[in-house]
Amino acid sequence: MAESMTEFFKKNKRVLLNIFYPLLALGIVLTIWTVAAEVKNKPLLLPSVQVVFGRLGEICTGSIFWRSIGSTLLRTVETFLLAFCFAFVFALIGTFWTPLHRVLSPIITALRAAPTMAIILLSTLWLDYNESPLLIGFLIAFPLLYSAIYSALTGVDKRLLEMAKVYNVSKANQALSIYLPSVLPYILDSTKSVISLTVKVVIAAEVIAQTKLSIGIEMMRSNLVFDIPTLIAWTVVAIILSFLLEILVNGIKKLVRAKYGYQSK
Amino acid sequence: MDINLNNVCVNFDNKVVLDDFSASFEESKITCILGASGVGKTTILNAICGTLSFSGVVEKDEGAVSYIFQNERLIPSISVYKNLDLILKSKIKSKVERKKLVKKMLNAVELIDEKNSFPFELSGGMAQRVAIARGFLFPSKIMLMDEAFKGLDAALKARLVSVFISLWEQDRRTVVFVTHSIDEALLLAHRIVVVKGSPAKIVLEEEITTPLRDRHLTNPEFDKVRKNLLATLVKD
Repeated sequence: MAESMTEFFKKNKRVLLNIFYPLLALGIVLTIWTVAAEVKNKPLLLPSVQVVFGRLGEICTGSIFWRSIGSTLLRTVETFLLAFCFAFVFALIGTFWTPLHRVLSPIITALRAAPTMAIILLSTLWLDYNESPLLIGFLIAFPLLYSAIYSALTGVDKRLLEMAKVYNVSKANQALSIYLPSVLPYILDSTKSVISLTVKVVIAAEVIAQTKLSIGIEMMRSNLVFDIPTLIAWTVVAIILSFLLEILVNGIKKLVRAKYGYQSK
Repeated sequence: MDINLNNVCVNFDNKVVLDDFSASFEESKITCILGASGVGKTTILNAICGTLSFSGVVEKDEGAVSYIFQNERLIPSISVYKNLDLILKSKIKSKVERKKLVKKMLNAVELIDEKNSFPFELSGGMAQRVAIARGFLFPSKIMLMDEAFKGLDAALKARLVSVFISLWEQDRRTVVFVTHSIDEALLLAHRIVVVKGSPAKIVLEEEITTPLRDRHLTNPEFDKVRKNLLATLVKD
């Protein structure tokens, strides 16, 4: 029995470690939270883990919970895809036509440097509650994605492109065989971090713009009535949402790796 | 036809690499351009290939050229088979025909078992054999080689030279081969051209009549040529 267990652990070591470390991290966070709640001993300000997860259990039975998550998720995906498409097209043109990149560079730098909260506040003045999170998500994701895609495209091995030119490889085949496999890993790496950031800023914009049917407005409501367990419960939901999107991108990355047989990157 | 360079001039950032450079490379023969690193050997190849801008005239057969680079330049994300198939796509539309040609070439370089391997799974020698196979697979009358055996150990180099000779004997293209190794030049070239100086000039030409298959670095007839080449290369 003991031998078969050892054999099982040896065979599945990697998978088990992939489960073990996140669980360990979760355990550490929950322990710190529990200890802090005990020490502070102010349940109104810092409720215990049990209270928060109990509240999460309560709110997730209502239809508003799932509809709010669905709306926020849809907004995040919508704004991210829009930013991605624009970033891809502009980066592609900028790679082959430098003047566009030179014009865009200072704009991108300004967008990256501008304080997120300032953009959120301005957008709530200019746009309605539903459009504001979309604009914010776009303005935050676009410069990051543009820079990542542009770097990936310009970082393609010039020697391979020279080889392709010498051997008359068509532009379409260059795109499929040289550009795509070379840029995809970099783009997916950036996508992973940008999509989490997009979740955060979309929710922040929803809070300020008071977007109906959203995670942000639920957070705002619980904050107004000083319902801290619900506020933290919604925060947990936002974190889980972010995790799930990252897992999705990781899955795509694994498929890309399998297709192109990368040793590294 | 022969490849003729007439009064070719190439400048890089105010540096004159070639100035009124003229040379002729005989059809269906292997000509080696021998010279020190940085003298402008690769520039001569690129002028023939048409991948750099120059003034002057380069006369050669119409159409594309094959180019075996110093590093193998295989696409890392696709298999050996697909690397070879890719360069045929612009020339041969039939997939069946391409498959036949690629397999034949992989058999010739003894790499048929590696057809599904990715380049990173190959040894340096295997990868360079694929690059040589690609050069011969691509339909062209001219083949350019830029230090194709650089950095390989002696045994591996001898094996690759042998692979190259057997492929060339079946398909006698006009080859211009750049190296700074006298031994490689002695093993492969029908004619050796030594270039020196800045801008580069031809300072010596040597013909070697020994059949390629009969050449060994220990051949006594190479001694005089080797001394001559070495003396020219080291002379100020």
